[in-house]
Amino acid sequence: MSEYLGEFEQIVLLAIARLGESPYGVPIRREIEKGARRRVSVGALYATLDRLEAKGYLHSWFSEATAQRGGRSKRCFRLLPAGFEALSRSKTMLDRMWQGVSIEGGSRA
Amino acid sequence: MPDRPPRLAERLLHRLVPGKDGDVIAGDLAEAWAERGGGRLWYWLEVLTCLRVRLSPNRRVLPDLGRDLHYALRVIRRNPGYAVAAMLCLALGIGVNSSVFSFLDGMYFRLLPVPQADRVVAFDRDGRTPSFWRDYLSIRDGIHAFSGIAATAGRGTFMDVERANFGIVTETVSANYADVLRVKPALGRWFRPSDELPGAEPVVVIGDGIWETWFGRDPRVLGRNVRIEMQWYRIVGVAPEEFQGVSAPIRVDAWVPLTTYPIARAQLADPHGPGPTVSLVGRLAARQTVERAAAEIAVIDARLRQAHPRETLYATPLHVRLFRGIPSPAARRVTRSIAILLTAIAGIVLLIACVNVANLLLSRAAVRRREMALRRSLGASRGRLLRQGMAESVILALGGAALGIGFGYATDRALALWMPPSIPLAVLRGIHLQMNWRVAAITAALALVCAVLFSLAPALEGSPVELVSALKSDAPTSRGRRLGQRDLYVIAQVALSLVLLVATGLLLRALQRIERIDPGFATDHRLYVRLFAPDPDFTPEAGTRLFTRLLDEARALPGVRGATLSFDVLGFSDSACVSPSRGPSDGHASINVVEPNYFQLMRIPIVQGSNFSPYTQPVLDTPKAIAAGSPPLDIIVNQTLARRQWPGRDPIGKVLWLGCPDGDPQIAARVIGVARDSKYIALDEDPTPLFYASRRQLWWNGYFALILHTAGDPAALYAPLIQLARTGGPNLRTYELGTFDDVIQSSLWRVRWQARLLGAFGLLALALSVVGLYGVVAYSVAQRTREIGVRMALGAQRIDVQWMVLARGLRLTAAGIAAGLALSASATRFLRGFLYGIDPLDPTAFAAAALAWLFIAMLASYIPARRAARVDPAISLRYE
Repeated sequence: MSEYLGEFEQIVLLAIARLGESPYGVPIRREIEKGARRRVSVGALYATLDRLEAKGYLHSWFSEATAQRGGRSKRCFRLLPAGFEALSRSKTMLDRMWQGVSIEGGSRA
Repeated sequence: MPDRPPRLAERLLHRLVPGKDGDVIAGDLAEAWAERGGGRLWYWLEVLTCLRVRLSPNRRVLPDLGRDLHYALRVIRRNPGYAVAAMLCLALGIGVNSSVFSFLDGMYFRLLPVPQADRVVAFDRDGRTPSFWRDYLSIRDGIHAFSGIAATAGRGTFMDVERANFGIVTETVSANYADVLRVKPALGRWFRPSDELPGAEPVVVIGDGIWETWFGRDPRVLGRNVRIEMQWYRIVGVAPEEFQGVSAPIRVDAWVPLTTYPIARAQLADPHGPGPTVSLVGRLAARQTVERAAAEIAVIDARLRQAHPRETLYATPLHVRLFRGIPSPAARRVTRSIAILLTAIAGIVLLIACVNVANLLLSRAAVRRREMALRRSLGASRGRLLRQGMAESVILALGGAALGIGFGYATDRALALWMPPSIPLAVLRGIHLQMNWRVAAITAALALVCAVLFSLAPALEGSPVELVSALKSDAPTSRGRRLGQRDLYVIAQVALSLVLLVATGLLLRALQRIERIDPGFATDHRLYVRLFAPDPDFTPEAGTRLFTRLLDEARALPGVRGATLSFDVLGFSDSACVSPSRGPSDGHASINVVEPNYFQLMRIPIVQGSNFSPYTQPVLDTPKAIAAGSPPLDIIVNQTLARRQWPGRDPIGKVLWLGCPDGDPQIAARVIGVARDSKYIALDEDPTPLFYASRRQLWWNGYFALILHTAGDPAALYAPLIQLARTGGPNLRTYELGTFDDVIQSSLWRVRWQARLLGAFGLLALALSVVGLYGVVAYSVAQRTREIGVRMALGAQRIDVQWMVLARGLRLTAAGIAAGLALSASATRFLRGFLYGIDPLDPTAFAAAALAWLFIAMLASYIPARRAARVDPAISLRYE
């Protein structure tokens, strides 16, 4: 697949990769808010997760309910090899594009 | 946890994201809610963003659907009996409907079978022929919107092939006909411009029907000669099978250049006359639209009206429209009532079939109550089960539709076979029934609608609360309500099929009444040929001499007991203005011009006065001559005219003035006799005023039917009669040839066809409903086996049990019959136009239909009743 990931897709995949141990919705959202410093609505998150799963980058399954969720089940996610590949492809592309580019004033972040 | 997240928002969330995924999101939100300690607005906003999840194309709907279908197929495979029954029911309903749609399609939508048929337009003046040949020639090349316009005039006539003579419909056309339509010949060629030049050799293109019937599809047919209107034509081409001309609904058998056709040639001989009237078809030029063509035609039409202000034909404006189905609105009006009737009946049959399948599914649902309850208690949502049921229904419906198209093909054939074959009655013949994508699409849509309709039935019923009891035992827990729904279905079926039975009964009664109508003249052993000695070719004297000779020679034919001449035959008549005094006429009467022995030969008694004198008197050639002082015309009036003109007085010797004020001068006619009424146009007509004149005194347009009374089979005289007619020379036209019995029969075709059609549909509906009734009664017996066992153990007799079951079937039937009678009473009004005077509430038809249903219901409930009576209490109670 020659397609590159969108920005938010990269963020979501990276969040799952960082969390490792098959995280579910709440930790993923927390990770994004912490790492990317942006607010994520639950609708946007699940729509993107659905899309990534349909593309074959993710695998999801329902796991057991816990009491603090009002007895509701969780949906856990795991990055598939294709997901890693897509991430690295996007990164390679960005790196390539950054070669020889320097921005005056440098990065403030 | 502070307080709960807003319930309404949670509800909305589950709506937006159904199933387990909604649960997951709600769980996530609940955690976040606890973490941030509330925030109703925040919660609402979060829920609203889930719209994105709902609208996301990646929701996994399809995999679920696949699973549904897979499961449905498995269920159906495990119970093929019920699936086959359901599919057959549906196939019948859908098949009938697809055929009716193909009929409607042919009437309203089908394009001509030619390339780029959506560029072909028809011209129309509200059902009247749009133009004269002269004006067609003047306008055809000057219109930019068209790449070409062709003229055509359909005519019924006869064709001779070798020694055979048969009726055909020809289109007499301009030579560019095939070029404009872009229709290719199957064999040979179409016409060239040189074919319509004066003096060109007459050539004909024959249709597939004639090629098949008379030439056995022999390719050497080209170059053979056939005779039309006593003129020889050389066959130069054969039209493709699917092309039936542009005179729908009438199928065209042969095409000839208009300028070579004898009658047209006579009209064209007058250089100042307008020539024959013609219909027009045109093909739009590239990048032109019907609207632009219409605008241009309006201008040309206005110019025509200006150029010929006295031409009444041009008073009605000329329209163009896309050539679809039957292009002429006038012809559509004729077929509309039949189309509506067919659609209504087919709709009822389909409804009954759907109800039947719903009923079947309901009994299946009852059997599967435990399965459903189990699945629900394991967590399947109601919607999930509904979808599952829907998937099963869709599969059944699609199977039914596929079978139905097969059935539809068969009903198409049946409908086509039932269509009347003879020419004057060919209203329906040309509606080529065929399946096409439109019909298939409508069939499929119908199937889907059915599927939704009947899968709703079990869903409506499956109540969510009775899980425990359903799981616990086999025993029906809410029998009252569930059987209530099935009972309603049976009642509806009985009612609907009763409507069809009543309608069939009414039509049969109408047919019976019409068959019993006395035409007022003898029909057995009588045949006729209609002849026409047209004006420019025959003077009245020459015509009269010719008919006198034909009459004398006909009498001399072997096997002929008598012969006569008559202007009218049943279905063909003319009328004149009549008034008791000179001056404005006060009414019309039909006219018949006859040989004096007509009354005797046709057994029409002269009830008063005398017959025409058989002695030859001078021919009074024109009304003008009569007006100029010839002796008055003798006429014989029929009883209706006598009653109308001279109520209560003796009509003999009275004078009647004939002729319309604005036409030829009026002439005086003296009544010498009164003849008994008979039928003139149709058997079901009301008494019609008519007078007879003697052909020895009056020449009327040149039409005569030569009527023979034969000793043996009248059909044996067809050939000698045609031979005789041919001795009249090439200018004497020959029209219909037939026996009077055939004429009577064919005037009944319409009501007979309708009765037969409705009868067939009625039987179908009846069969479907009987299956439904049987199903319900048998099912109730199966359900009540234990109860019956208990009753019998407590001493009930077999007869009691039998009666109990029978009574149940009869109660349902009685309710259905009551509802059906009420429904019929309001529905049969719409049949009035088909009933020929039978009251739409005719008690015989209603009672017969109700009794028939009652009898059939007894039979249908008797079988399960017997089974119930054979229940062995010991066995049925063993499981208690």
